[in-house]
Amino acid sequence: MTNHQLDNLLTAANPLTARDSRRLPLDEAHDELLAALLDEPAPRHGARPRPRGRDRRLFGRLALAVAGTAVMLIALLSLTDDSGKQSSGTAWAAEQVRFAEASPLVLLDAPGWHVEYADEESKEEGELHIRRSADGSLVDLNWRGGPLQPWLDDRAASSVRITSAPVLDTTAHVYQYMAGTPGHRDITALFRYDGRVLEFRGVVTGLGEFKDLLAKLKRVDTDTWLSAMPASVVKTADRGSTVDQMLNGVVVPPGFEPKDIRGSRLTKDRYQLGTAVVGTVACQWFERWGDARRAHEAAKERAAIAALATAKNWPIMKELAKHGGYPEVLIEYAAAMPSGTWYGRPLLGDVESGLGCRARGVDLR
Amino acid sequence: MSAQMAAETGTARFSRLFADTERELLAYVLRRVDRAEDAADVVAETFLVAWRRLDSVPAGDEARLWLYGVARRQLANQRRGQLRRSRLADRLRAELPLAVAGAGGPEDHRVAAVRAALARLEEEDREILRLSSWEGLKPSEIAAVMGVPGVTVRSRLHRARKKLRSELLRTDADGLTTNSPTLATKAAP
Repeated sequence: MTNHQLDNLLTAANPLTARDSRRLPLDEAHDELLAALLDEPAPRHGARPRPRGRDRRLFGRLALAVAGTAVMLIALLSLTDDSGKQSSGTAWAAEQVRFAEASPLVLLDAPGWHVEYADEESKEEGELHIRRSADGSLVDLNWRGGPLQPWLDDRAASSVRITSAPVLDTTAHVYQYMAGTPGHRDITALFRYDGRVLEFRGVVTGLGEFKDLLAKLKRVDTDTWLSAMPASVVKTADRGSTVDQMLNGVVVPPGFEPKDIRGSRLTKDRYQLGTAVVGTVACQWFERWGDARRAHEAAKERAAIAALATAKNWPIMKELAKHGGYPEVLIEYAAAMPSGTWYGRPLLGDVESGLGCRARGVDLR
Repeated sequence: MSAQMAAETGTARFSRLFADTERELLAYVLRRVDRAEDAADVVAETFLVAWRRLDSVPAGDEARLWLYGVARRQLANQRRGQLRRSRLADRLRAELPLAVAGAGGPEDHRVAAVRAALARLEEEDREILRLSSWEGLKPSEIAAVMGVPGVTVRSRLHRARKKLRSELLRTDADGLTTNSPTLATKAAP
């Protein structure tokens, strides 16, 4: 047996490859562990506070000078003013910094445009929606892990590669979708940046405008990036109090804890967080209802039906209904509870997928 | 300490360290514990040491080796029953068993034979083989983790391979190689 054969045998005996370990669904457990660790006293280095206010801006400039890139300096000067209007002047929570830095830290540095929506699905994946106030134009910036080529192949199958264009410190592949009309062209740019695949897409008047916007994507520092997040984005530091406020008037099942609500991501749109709150509560009620039906516990079954019948009156449900369809679906499922069926099928099967219960930690099977 | 490190706050640096190494450290620990949930305490205590001694954590990829070294000591503590049950890792401990269920490939007879042979080796020999094969470390990196000179690692690695080969040959050696066209192909020069 050669060394090579022995090494192959050893490799095959590895009980958990690096690839498999990266796929373990433990992101949220790791997030909690990190948050708990950062709450622990750090005697060797914790006495040094994070820079605040003016000092923090100075710190930002120093960090950029160290990085030494002209693009970053331009971004800092154009996006952060000395009055601190855009720079919050407050020290960001560690979790916020971590997740901001998990993004490519790229913003559109163009007058009149603002980030309207932001979300980070994972450490590798997230998106910004950026809107122009004057005419409502919308562009979005997505970032994802993995190689670029599959994305190029995918876009090539549904659009036409029309050119390449400079962006940040690289070159983007630019594709145009065919469904547009003169003055409304759906154009997308794909490129690798900072170890990720970035895609910038929008409906614009034409290629000229698109390239102008593309050229205005700028790398910024963490403070500037976080300061650009819209008010509708619920940041981690505010999440607990926001969830408590959303639970106001909600009838929760026995044993429910706010910590049952999954998702400790940094940038969480208020609507998305709201659906997580009511979805978790509803899924737990449906779970109790299903258990009660199987156990022939009529009182428990009636209690669950009565609780979810109030859902249409929960304040957070009324707020969410103005922005999306999740509350409507939940109310329809609640109304179907007495019959136990949904268009002839068992209700719970549809509830599980319709409300995303498994992702919320509730298995209705 | 580099200028970039100096400009970075402890919190930001630790957060980055955690994000960069958590999966590899977890995998390192999971490969060495009997029960998946036991890995949670080792990982939590290892990162707690890193957090409290952040100034001692080297930069770059050496940080990972430093963490492996700390984790080795925590694993030893755990085997001696001296590792505390960390409240920091409550959720990780709860979720690990389910998360790792089904992870990794099936254990066929070859894999079982190699693992059994590894288990019969002395801990130091076993660890040096695991670090080399499963963590993919070079002798100089193994030396950093184990706290021994690089030249010592090379000789110990040679000795550990020899012992493992003997164990395999003593039991089911032929079946491990001659029945495996894949291995035979890979072994060809």
